[in-house]
Amino acid sequence: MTRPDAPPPSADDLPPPMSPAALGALLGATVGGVVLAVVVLPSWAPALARSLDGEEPAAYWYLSRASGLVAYALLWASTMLGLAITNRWARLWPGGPTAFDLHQHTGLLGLAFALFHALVLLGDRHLGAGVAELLVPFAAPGERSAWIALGQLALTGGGVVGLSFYVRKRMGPKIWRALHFGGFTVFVLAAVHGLLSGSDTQVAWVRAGYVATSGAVLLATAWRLVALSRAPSS
Amino acid sequence: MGRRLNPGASGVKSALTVISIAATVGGWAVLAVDDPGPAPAAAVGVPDTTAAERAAPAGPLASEVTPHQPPAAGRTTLAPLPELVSVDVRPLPPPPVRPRVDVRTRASRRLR
Repeated sequence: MTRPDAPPPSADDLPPPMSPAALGALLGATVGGVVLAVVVLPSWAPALARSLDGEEPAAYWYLSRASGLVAYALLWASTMLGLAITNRWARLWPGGPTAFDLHQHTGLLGLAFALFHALVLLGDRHLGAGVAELLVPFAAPGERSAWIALGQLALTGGGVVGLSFYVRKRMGPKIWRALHFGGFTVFVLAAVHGLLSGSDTQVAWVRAGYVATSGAVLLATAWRLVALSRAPSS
Repeated sequence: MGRRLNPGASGVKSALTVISIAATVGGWAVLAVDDPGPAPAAAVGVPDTTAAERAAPAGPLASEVTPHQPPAAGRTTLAPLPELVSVDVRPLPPPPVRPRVDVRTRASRRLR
């Protein structure tokens, strides 16, 4: 509240409306939006509309495939950030608190995308799967039920690990730490699920991505184990 | 929680969220653009027999050679046996090549 008799502030007293970084982001978003509206959207719109049309719209299937890859990338990022914290690489960049914050955020965001990856298939009439077939391990029919079950187990395990962030203080550090190591298993399950049941694994860059991300986690874990073995026992 | 530890990372977290959503929608678009749509019958392996017959050279096919018919009842005289005719039986035309179906098309997709 300003007093009615207070003099109006001069222009020199006002702070800049936004920081240079925010201004750059706004300009970038504007240019990106224009390119999207003028160039990309007209070429994509017919295909997007076609995928929503017909008795069995394919849009749900495409969204599931895309969100599955995004969920895997986020899970990988979370795993690598966790390893960067324990390996103390995060001290170099981006800093311990930031790494921990991003570790939590990417893990929970990946969990949300993994849940979307599964549940969006409820709209796929071609598949005709129910909630139980999509979420309960080994409930999905078909010859790839086992590989799909790995993803369902990863989702369940990821849910437990992710929600443990919220009850960390109640659990105590030892139990939480033991539970948190389950994140490695979640990543391995998700990677094998993606490699063996993913529709896009045949695409070269997707396959290369699985190999590169799995290799990075393997190397960082090996680094951690070597450091643990060399550390003096207390 | 992390937010209290480092509120400065909120911009990065927002960017990660936006990028993830954009990647999902972009992936949907790319997959939809790549999908050729419903394939015509010939593209999914249904042979175009009319075209195959049209392309075949002249001459009877093996299936068109009729077997020897027995004489009709009541006839007392035997008709002279027809000369053996060597029928040049051509091999059947090769089956149409089944085109490779992209696994990403709607026709062959299944839960993987």
